[in-house]
Amino acid sequence: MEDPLIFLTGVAMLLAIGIGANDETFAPLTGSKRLTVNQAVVMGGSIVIIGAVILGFKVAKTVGSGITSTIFDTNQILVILFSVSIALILGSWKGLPLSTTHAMVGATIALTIIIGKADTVNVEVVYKILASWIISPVIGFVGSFLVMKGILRLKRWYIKGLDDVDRLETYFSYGLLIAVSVTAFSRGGNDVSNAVAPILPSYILLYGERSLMARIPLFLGGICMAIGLIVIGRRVLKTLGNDIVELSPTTALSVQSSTAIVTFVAAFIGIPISGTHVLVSSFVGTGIAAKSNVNMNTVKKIAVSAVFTPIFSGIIVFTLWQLFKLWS
Amino acid sequence: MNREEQKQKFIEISNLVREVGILYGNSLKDPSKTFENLPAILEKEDLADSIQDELDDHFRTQRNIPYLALDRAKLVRRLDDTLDELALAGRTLNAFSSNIPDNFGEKATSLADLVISITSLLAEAVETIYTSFSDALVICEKIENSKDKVVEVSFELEKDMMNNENSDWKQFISASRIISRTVSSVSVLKAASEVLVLMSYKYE
Repeated sequence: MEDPLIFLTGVAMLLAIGIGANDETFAPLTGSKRLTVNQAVVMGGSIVIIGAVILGFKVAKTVGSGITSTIFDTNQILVILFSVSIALILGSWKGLPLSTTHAMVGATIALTIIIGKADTVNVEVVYKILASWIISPVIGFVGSFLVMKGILRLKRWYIKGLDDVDRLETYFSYGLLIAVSVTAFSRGGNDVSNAVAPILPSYILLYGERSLMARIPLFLGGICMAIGLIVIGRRVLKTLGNDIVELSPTTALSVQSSTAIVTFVAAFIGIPISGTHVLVSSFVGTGIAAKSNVNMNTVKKIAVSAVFTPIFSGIIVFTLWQLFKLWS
Repeated sequence: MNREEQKQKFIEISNLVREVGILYGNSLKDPSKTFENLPAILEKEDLADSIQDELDDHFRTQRNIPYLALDRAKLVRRLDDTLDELALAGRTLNAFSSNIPDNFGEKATSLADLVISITSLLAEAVETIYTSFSDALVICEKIENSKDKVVEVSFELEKDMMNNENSDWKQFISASRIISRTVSSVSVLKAASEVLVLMSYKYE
């Protein structure tokens, strides 16, 4: 059993590198020039590893074996991993911001049903996850709206001249550093589950749930996400950093603080959520609170893709599984 | 360069605007002093250029929050532009002062006083904006009102010269050039104050 597991672990680590490469968490800090890109990727990579190891187990367990009690074989795990990868690649090619978490959950449930084990799907857990996908962006929106209103009130009271602006933005940029670090830590736990969830049940079966060896995929996944971020993710940070050049530390803090709280709580209780969707809803909440123009067309597109992603990855799973059956 | 040093650079460049304004204004009142005042005007313009280069270098290379740095970069450019325009006005005055009517200085006194006043107000606004946006807005409004007066005064001055039978076409053209260049300088001073107004609206 171990050889296929090693192969599957390798494939999962490739996915982890891809997830790390697309991590935009530190973009507000590089965009506001609090950190250089080099500092951001090293710091981000380190925090992600810690988050993956400390928080990742619960989330990965939920996705891997909490959703279904079926233990997938090598081929089935490969189908899931490839389906998620294809869904993400196709979505990115079309310019759609897809959630890895949504794709992974959709693929896992779809394959469970396709192989005739629909009765092993834990409906209660699925409902909990679906509820969190609706609740987490709402909390992100409301939280960032309230935080931004509070920040605006503070600014009106505190700021008299340019000296006060400089001072406040400097303080907020340090607060932003903390919020981004917490987000990176939580997302480490959330995102690593997307890569290792399909193989974690096998490790638990092999070594026992309490064994440290069962956590090897999390540790390796965290390292691979860090590698993805350091080697490739710096390009994403450079691009996003330029795109958000007008984002001030106070606005970015409002976005990040809500995101940080929601992603941390979700990772802590072991619920897989989309960090990207929470971030987007926080942006919308902040924008509305600050009375800025919010591109609602983009928001609608993201909302539609959030609903469509699990279905899309499910369709790919179905297609790949049929192809695999034909080939074998 | 830290925040305090950056602030001092802006105050330094705005003080140069004030000093050049006084030199130019005094030259307008007494054109015979232009030759004496011009080197000082040009020296201060060069000094402003080097301060702008220093600040530009700082914005480009240091880790400044772009949201804040872009406004400052715009402001230093407008302040440098005012000095360039005042230097050009000084050169124009120097070039054409030998052909202007004898009583030009006397007639241009109110125009000269307005130029001195506006440059002083601009320097004051740059210093004030660090402590109070609302006070800076009040000063910028005074600059706007003064600029409108400059337009009126220069118009009356030119009209007066045109209607004066004792001035010939050469004198009229020379004086007209000087007045026109002065009004241009004041427009650039007002443009610099507009940057302060926008910063106040943005951050307040």
